[in-house]
Amino acid sequence: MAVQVQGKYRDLWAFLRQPLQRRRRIRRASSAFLAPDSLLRLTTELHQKRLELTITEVRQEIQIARTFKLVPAGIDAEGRLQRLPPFRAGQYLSVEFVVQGARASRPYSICCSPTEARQGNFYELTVRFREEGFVAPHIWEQWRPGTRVTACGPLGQFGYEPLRDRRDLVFLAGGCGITPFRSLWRELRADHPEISCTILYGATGPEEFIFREELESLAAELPDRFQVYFVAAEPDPGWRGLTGFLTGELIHELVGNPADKTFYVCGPPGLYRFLQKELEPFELPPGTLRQEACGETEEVSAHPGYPGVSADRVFTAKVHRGSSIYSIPARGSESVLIALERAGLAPPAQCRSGQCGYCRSLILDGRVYVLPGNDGRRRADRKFGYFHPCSSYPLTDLEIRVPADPLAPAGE
Amino acid sequence: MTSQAQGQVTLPLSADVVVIGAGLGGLGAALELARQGAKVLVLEQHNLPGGFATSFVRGRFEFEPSLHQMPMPLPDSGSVSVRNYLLKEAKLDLEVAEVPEAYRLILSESSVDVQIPFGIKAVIDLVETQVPGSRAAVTRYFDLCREVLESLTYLDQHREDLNKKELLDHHRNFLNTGGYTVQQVTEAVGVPPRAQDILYAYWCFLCVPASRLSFTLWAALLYTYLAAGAFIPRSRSHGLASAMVRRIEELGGRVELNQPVTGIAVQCGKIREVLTAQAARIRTDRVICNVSPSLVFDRLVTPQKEVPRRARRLINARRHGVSTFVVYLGLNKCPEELGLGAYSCFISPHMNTESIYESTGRLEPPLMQASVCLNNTVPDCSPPGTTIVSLTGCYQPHVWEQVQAQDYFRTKSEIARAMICQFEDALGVKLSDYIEEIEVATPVTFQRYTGAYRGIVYGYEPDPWDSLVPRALAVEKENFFQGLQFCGGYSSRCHGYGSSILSGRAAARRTLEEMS
Repeated sequence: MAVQVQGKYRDLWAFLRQPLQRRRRIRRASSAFLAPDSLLRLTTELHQKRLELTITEVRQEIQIARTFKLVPAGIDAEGRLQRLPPFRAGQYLSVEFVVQGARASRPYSICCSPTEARQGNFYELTVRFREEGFVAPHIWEQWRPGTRVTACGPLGQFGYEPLRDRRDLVFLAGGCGITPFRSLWRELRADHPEISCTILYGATGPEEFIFREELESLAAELPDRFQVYFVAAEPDPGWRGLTGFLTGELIHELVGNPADKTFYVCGPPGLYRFLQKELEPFELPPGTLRQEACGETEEVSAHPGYPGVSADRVFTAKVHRGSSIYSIPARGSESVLIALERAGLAPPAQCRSGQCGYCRSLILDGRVYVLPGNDGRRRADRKFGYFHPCSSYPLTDLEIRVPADPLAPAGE
Repeated sequence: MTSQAQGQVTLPLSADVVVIGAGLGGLGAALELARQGAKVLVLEQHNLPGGFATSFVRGRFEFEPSLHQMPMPLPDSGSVSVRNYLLKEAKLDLEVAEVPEAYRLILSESSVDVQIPFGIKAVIDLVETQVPGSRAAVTRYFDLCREVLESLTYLDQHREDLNKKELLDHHRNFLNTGGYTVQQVTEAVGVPPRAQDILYAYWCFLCVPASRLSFTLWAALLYTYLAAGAFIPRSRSHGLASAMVRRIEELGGRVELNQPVTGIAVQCGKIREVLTAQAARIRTDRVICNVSPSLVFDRLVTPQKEVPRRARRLINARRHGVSTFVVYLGLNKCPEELGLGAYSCFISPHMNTESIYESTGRLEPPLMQASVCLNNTVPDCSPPGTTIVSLTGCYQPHVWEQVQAQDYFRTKSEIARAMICQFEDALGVKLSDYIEEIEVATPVTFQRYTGAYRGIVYGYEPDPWDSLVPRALAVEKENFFQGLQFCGGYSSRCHGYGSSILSGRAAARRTLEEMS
């Protein structure tokens, strides 16, 4: 059956003239260069590949924690300081270091509120000192007013999401895990009057509570919306607050019925393991317990599922990158990412908790132990043998392929 | 060790073919090249292959970023099938799942709520129950669509020995409708307006008003999907991209991630080298670009004086397609508990494609959304008792350019909330109480990860003058550089998963011909 649209000859002509039409349109079009991609302006402002920052202020919060104020180091085309990307309360910066000749990165939560950061064009990070740490001693020695810092971000999914979370929030913080919460309570206080929030803050002793005064005045000024409890594990005799750990019993006593609440946890890896057990009886619906990515674990052999390789063994990892092959040592006690960083072969890494997938690499041979709580691998990646070096610990000698670091200096 | 290992990654000094971009087009090209024994190097700026065909994990959920259906093979048809190519010819290690039905369509103002099955006869029957008396016209319409598809298949197979008489004698309906828009032809065939509304749902896969959209492209898309059905990769699109990479590597090709390309060095109209951000220079005579030609001609070809004025005019003459905005929901109830029965559900107040398209030019919640309930095709895509739902709307490229950085999160959140409400109201279900994970992607998000020019997902708009046939006829004439080919959503087959992969294969074959 023949179909006609506008008549036999006109239809055929409509078809045949298309190449002519095309040529005419091209002929009539401008030969100017394309305008700059204006979406790229916004995308770059929101997701700068790398931030160059300068420290302008150092505040000693407590003996073992300092807050650093950072402003952009770069100047824009009009000679003003560049704008820092906005962020959501709870997000972190992945800060880059060169320690003992090796490039490494660490995630630090931004602890000022998004609003004050925008108004003042700065970020604040609070860092706890750890003698045994790889980069903390470096920060303590090097970071002064005027020091330049390189970072990626802001990044991460930890924080309050009105479309997902309840209106009654419970913050469970351990030690320096309080930092993202400071950004959160400052924002909630200013912009979310519908939210009420109970903050339980555990630390070893009273001298280790960061932001104590601020929390106390928050609770005093808005007692209907903010309840704050400090819980000291090993207090000195003068301590009049709560003592012990953030046990399920204590949490239940202080926050009441856990239903219809969203819980947020941030602290050292041990706290996650502890709270997982303590919160079990609450039967929290999945998704109402939000945990900040906790970084590499301190003690992989302490994990119940760890298959008993002596963690101080040193394996050999054969690393393919581009057309080159390297042979490097990889300790059983350290993530594969750390081994790569020590050798100067690290792929880009951000969350260091197996979640963001930036360090995704391929196992060609050998086995690793993947931290169960930090296993953010995609389904197909498991099938094809890809892994996230930041949350994987060698169990045998390895042969792996790692991608380039796109931000590594060219031609070094 | 430390100092020598740091910094630059060693890349090969030369390659037979360099593929720029590991989107589905680029991977499709590399796969075919590797299959035919060419030394191919794929350079991708992101740390994952696939471009828009990827996935991401939040909590217990692995989300699918895009609308990712591909048509099943049409039985008794010589038309190329992406499924057969991937599974049978290229032998990918890929599991696929068949989509159970075409779509549910809810048009609130027109009181339409229908579930369209696969199978042309079943569709005609269903439309007849909704629009009594439509049978004859709708049957004519599908017959016409089938003829158009057959003619495209004929053209594809006889590219070299095209017989004008054969075309005029046996492909008359293809010729008679090929110069027109969807609206012109659909009206000429006499499809009643309400039946048009029901049949236009897949329109949002193309997102050009029916008054401008090429009928040829539309007919091929509509007929293939409705007649043959659709499939998706079981392990999200990342499963597809990863399977392609694995096969390319098995066949001796190389895929290098985190390797942005900064230039294509050209001398006297011939490709010489590909330059990377890490200052590598790869000698090659042939490049296949899975990148917008606008970017290639404007930014990548170096020196710039090598770009002819006609190439600039070409990219300025074409109109850019839309980008997308997607709300991803991980819900802690199963689809039955939520009352979600269909895989695809298209929701809009009406099916006036002019007005819907116009709304994609404004910074407000999209009028039309395409939602997907992934579990209704891949039941175990999320843990038992949970559901993955995604809601997709479109925006023209200029819309998000106006957003200020400080308003970005708020804007995103407001639009996401409105889209969830629209879905809940249309289906009479509740999602907002069961959200365990939520993520929202805007054109900014897509640009951030894929590097897409202006965040565009849908390539160039397929107006009749820039649709399948005119693009295919112009491939040679618009080849401004010896050794350069394009693939992916901007290229000859227009955008879409299957089209991108097949466009990559076609670009690879043209390149192989040149090499031999």
